[in-house]
Amino acid sequence: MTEMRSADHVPRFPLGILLFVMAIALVGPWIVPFDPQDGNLVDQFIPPIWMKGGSMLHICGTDHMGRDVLSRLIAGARISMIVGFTAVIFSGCVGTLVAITAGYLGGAVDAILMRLTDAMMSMPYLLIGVALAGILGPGIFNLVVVLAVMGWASYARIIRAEVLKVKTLDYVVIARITDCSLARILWRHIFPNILNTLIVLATLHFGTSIILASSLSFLGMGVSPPTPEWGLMVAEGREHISSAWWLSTLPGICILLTCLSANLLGDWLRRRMDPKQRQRA
Amino acid sequence: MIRYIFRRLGQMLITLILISAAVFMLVRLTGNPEDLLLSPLASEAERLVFRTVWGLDQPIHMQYWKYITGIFHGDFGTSIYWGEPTISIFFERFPATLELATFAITLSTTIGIAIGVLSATHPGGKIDHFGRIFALAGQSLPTFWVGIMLVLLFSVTLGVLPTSGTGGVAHLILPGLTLGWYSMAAFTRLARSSMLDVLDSEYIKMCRVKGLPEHLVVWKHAAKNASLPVLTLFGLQFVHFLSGSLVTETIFAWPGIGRLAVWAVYNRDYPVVQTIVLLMTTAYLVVNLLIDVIYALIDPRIRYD
Amino acid sequence: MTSDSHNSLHRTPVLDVQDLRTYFHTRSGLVKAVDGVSFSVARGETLGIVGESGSGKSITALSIMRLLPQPAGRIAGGRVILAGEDLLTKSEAEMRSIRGSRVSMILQDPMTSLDPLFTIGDQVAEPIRAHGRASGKGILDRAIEMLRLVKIPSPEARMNSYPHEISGGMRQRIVSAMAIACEPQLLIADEPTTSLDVTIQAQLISLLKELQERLGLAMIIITHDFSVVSRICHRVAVMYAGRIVESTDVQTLFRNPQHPYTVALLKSLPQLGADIQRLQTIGGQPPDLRNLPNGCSFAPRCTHATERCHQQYPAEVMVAEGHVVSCHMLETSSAIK
Repeated sequence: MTEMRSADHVPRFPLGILLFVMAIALVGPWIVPFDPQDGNLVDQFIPPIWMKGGSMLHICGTDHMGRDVLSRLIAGARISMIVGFTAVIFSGCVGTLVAITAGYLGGAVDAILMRLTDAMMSMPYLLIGVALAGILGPGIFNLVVVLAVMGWASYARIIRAEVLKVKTLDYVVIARITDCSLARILWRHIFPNILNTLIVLATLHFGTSIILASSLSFLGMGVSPPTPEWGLMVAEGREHISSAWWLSTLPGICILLTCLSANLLGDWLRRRMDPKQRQRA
Repeated sequence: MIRYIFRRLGQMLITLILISAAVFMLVRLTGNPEDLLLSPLASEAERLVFRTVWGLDQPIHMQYWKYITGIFHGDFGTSIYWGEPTISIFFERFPATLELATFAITLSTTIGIAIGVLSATHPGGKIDHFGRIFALAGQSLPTFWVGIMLVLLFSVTLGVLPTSGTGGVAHLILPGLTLGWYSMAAFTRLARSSMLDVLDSEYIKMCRVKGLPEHLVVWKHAAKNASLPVLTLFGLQFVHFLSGSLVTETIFAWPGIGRLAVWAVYNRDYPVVQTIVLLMTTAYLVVNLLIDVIYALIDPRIRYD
Repeated sequence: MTSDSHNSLHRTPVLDVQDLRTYFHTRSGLVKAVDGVSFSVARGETLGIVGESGSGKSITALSIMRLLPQPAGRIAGGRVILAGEDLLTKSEAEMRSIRGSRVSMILQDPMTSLDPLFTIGDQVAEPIRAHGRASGKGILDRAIEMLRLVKIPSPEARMNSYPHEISGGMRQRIVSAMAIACEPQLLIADEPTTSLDVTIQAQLISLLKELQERLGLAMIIITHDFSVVSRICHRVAVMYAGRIVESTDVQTLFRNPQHPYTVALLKSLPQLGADIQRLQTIGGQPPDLRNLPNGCSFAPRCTHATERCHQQYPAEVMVAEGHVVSCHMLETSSAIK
């Protein structure tokens, strides 16, 4: 006997945070109080406003090069959003394409593509990411490529399972029998059914991408200094952890909030999309 | 079953060959080690010697063939930087990573599963609330930040734990926590949802209908059924720890494979990178196979013939 | 309905349910799943509880067992008297010793009611061991005995089989074996045949009948299948929206149904040989249990509904000896209980 379902409202808080970060990313360049790249060594290590020695001028303090932390956080939002979205779009497209091809066509095509996907998934992903990043070199575009390469396989696996399920649905079988064109079947029947899963995966992957991007940057394999990327900021702040703790802490909080919101939203979407799913976490 | 294992081993071989080829090619795509290791003033003759010694002058498929045949003789290549066999460099560092990985996985499974199960058996209680928040927060935090924050808290502010290096248990704690954090959250989440799913099933209801004592219901029936997905996660996480502790080892200057990998990529020491990827992938595949075998031992419905 | 009006001296009820109310507290409202249900079952007697999905049949059974889904479900009132003791006053520990030993249940879906990871033998032996009906080797012997009782071929071999190796019909028998292993006084079967093939259904029903005769069980069969009712039940209670609208013995139910809902249900059954163009259905939808109408719950769908029906819930009317109906139409004719 299933539990009675209680209402599962849209998670306003996470959605709000994500929209806020996206808004910041959009208008970033126009609202930054200071140039994120510009610093004056005289102003280095000013603490945030709520600490002794802080000032209204630099609400989140300044870093070791005298740059305003708040401005860098805002600029970092833009980078994270761009990286997150493009990585998700790229891996999503590649993964879905592979999944639909493999799942729908079946047979040898399926076997080959799945072996490829399995191989991809059995490689230690961060290691591959680092190796790939090392090869391609630093930069936002390269970072996105690395993330896309790292991410498409899990889309492929899961969506292929969905395609296989959808393939056996009555109306799809009928469409195939009545000789509907392949494109029509894929677009009108298969795709809408996997869309739900795709959206959930994309939302969750968005959060993961941000963390991965910042991890790679932290290791020196993502964007390079002086780009104000959150992960890179944490890395740069590490040396000064005992004297200027806010340099590493604040960007980390940004990453945390963004990723947490994406995860919460993704979870809620997953619950909404699955009619059989009872209320859990 | 035996036939299945052999079949899987065969598939593993194919996968490994594919992967080794892919990595081999990719690693050579850009960046020449000679630019990094030879001084810019090196003469053309010296460069030629360098290339010949390292076989870099050969066509790429020849290099690959040499590499593959070498492996079957136990020769995984030689580190360009150190001049020693990559395999021994690897195994020099591996024990440290293994130590850290074992510690982290023990920590994350025990705590994670405990919280997860308690969360499921006492829904709505304090542990449940804590567990859910913990699981969520844990999976949204980047490992490197957790590490740095832990260092900030325990080493810088409180001064109770060391910031880096190996040594006794004290040295294991922070890196272990950092590495295991995400995993702990994942285990909590999975144990909880797996347990909830199982506790809601008809056969558990049947156990209660039969009037079985609660400890049998939970620890005999529910636990065994809920353990299957957790087992899979265990395999995945352990291998991840073995190969993916790049960030943790970097932060804590832990002398393991992760640090070696980052270093090798920076310095374009191809053979080392190749060896690490190959061996780590092998580890992943082997662990996967083990997990599948254990699965079949637990679940009588799974028969591979 | 209390026991005295229909029970003869040599048949005291094993189970006497009085005005049972089970409500669910959900965020969208209070669901009155069972709202004042009373019936009794005597030794060697089978009571059928019929109704549509959502009528409260299964919840009634779970309430008797006190296995309601927590934390939403709560028994809000009434008494459930098993051989003189009110189950609703028992502690959880006491209930645990009652379940499986004095009251047993067969669940609907044989494909999911057995734990896939343990052998049949292990699962049949569990209640025997838990309730102390045997010890040591005796436990296994008794388990094999039970399997034999439910006509499982080669029971010794079956003890080591796993559920997935066994067909649905046989699984339901095994569940029956588990249910009678401790010789209960009351057996509740919740839609025991619904998931089975038609041919297998007949076998299970005759098995249940046999077990009842052999062990003198009081049985409650919950079903929506009238053919099952006709084959095994002595008495029937028809439930709608959490209440019993009609209860009588099985022959009277088929020959002389009084409540419009019962009549409509029986009419909607396909008849062999009759020349019917379309199957009859009951118009409308089952009611939303969070928002029950004032008055008779069936009124919105009833072709005979009057103004009064929409305003006042009908009292129980005893139409004949042992035949009780809740309908305003009958109030004028017979004595009001």
